[in-house]
Amino acid sequence: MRLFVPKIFVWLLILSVFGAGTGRRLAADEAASGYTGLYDRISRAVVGITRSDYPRERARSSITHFGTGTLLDPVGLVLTSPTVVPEGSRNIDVYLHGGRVAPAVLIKVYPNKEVSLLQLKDFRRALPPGKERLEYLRLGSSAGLSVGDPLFSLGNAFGSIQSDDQVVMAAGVFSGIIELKEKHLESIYTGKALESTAALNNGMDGGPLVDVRGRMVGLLILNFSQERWLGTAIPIDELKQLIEPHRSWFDDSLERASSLAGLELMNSHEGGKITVLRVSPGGAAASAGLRRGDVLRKFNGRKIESVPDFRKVFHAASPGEQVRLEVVRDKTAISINLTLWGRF
Amino acid sequence: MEVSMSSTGQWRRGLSLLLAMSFSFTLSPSSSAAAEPGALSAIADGLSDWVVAIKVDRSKDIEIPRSRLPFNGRVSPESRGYFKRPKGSVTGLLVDRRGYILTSNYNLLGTIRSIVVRLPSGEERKAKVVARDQLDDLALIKVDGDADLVEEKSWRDPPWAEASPSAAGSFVFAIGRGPAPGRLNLTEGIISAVGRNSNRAVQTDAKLNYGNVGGPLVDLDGKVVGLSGFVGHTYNQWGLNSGIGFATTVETIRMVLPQLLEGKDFELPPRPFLGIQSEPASSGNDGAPVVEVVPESSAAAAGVKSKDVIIRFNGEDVPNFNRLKFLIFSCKVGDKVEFIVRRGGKKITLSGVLGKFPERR
Repeated sequence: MRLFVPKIFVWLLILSVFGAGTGRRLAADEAASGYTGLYDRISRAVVGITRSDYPRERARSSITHFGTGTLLDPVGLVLTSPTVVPEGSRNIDVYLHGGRVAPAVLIKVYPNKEVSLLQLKDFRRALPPGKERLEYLRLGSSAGLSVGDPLFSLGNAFGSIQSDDQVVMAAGVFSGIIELKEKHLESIYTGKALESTAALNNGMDGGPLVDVRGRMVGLLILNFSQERWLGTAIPIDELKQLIEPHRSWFDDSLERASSLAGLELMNSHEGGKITVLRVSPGGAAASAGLRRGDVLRKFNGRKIESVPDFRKVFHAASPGEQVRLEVVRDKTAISINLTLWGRF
Repeated sequence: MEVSMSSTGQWRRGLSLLLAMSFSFTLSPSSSAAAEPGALSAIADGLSDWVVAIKVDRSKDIEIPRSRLPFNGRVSPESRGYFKRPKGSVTGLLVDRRGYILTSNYNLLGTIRSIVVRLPSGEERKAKVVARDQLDDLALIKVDGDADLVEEKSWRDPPWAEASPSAAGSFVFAIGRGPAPGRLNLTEGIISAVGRNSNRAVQTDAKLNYGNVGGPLVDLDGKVVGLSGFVGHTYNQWGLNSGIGFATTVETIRMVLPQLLEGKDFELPPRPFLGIQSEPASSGNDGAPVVEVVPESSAAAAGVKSKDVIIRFNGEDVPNFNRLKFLIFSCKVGDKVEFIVRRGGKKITLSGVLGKFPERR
């Protein structure tokens, strides 16, 4: 009873504040009957993950590990935990909305931060009909959370995604930040963690903890404190700088580069190549003759090895400026002059 | 985390006031029950005529297989008690004025000596099991005696919802009577997922424990959207109050209840069968390739040939065999189905009637 009061109390108080303030529409839509709108917006970015340590032919009956992942860019970058996909994993399958299954490769593990990053081998085969992009979660800010804020855990509880194609969502509140000192279950993360009352169960490790706006604020982990027994998550602010270099998209912050060149890029994760994913028809890149599949090497003679680097040089350039790109097409290096567009 | 609704206290008044403040901003006028002070207790009280407490006396409970216990049963003596059913009342829902009560089948497992129902009036009556539906974790009991429990003119059906929530995220409340049968208790939550148990149940994070299992799951308007269940240790590995709970939907209850009222157990329906062999899902998302067609099956009658690729089934996209299996098992034997196959470069629409899954000999 003592627990119940503060929980409902603060949660609804927050909603009422939203109702009165700027977020009125959001809260009114959401709270009228629950959080169906929120679920609808974000659940497709949450995926189930299975891995088998046996060869694929024998893998059907020997799936031994499953968990949750979060799509972080529209071309198939998946954030999960090493408790789901540890270093050296093979035979990784990602289960997406609509029962689609896509094989994935492990591209990076940061063991101390309990981060595993996967890339779908061919994201196009995982797309729903008529779509060109995968839906992905935006990152929020864990520093901006106040105790009592509504939080939501999403994931593959007890294999719900593989068995019923259902991402499950539980609601709760932000209970505070706790210092995890001991390791429990397979989790090895220690340090500052977000605690929430949103239910966290077997199979949800690697999944997102999201705020009421649907932004990811934490990575759900299996570790817990024996004093509190609440679900814990690694604050997203601690993970952003690990994740960002792997994201292949002109996200909100990258609109400028995108509109300057009319170009979308991705990391191919094979030796740090940057591949042209799409060229906007009629855009600057299209006029200059860039094509999908071109591998970018140099920008104004400077070697570029990652999308963030590319982003930096683009941000430094001005609209109307002519830049020289060196690209590799069919194993031949060619030079392309590109006049950047102005912003309209 | 139970709220005792009949106890009064300052905290409760404070809570009601706050709820009233919060909801008044956000709720549409139609949800009047929740917009008034004491919103949540009003939801619970609205169900009080139908929610009953059930006390079951057993000579022997079901055994929990070691394999079902965490760590294969190698748990400390203290935590072993967690997997034992505690004594105390459980919950049921009065669904028929003759005295029929629907509850979770788990509540009535084991070797039963007697069942005593405590009605909302406080009167206690003996009862017997009438029929069970193991697939949906439902059981129907009836209080002893031929006379009607409630007179026809004063009987109202429980406030069944038209339909269970169609999407995850809706607010729901689990209502029960145990362990103190005189009072109602309520736990709050959201729908965590729909379409569970072959689309016969919904999942919720409203806390379910032995006391409120078998009671109704209701929406903000106080309408019954399902009956909570599937919490027993015979079914699963998750624990009570874990934030994972299930409720058999009102649609399923509507379908099953008439048969249970006739005293007939609900048997597992035969599994539907299309009659193709395919490949596992990891081969891609380009449809379900037909490796072999089972002779004299629905697929054969519909004209499916080996090397066809099934790409749509009943208007839904089929990315792989896994999904096709799921879609077929969501149908019933005898359902007319339509599907599209890719044969060579052509797309062909075929239709047929699903047969029975062949028994293994």
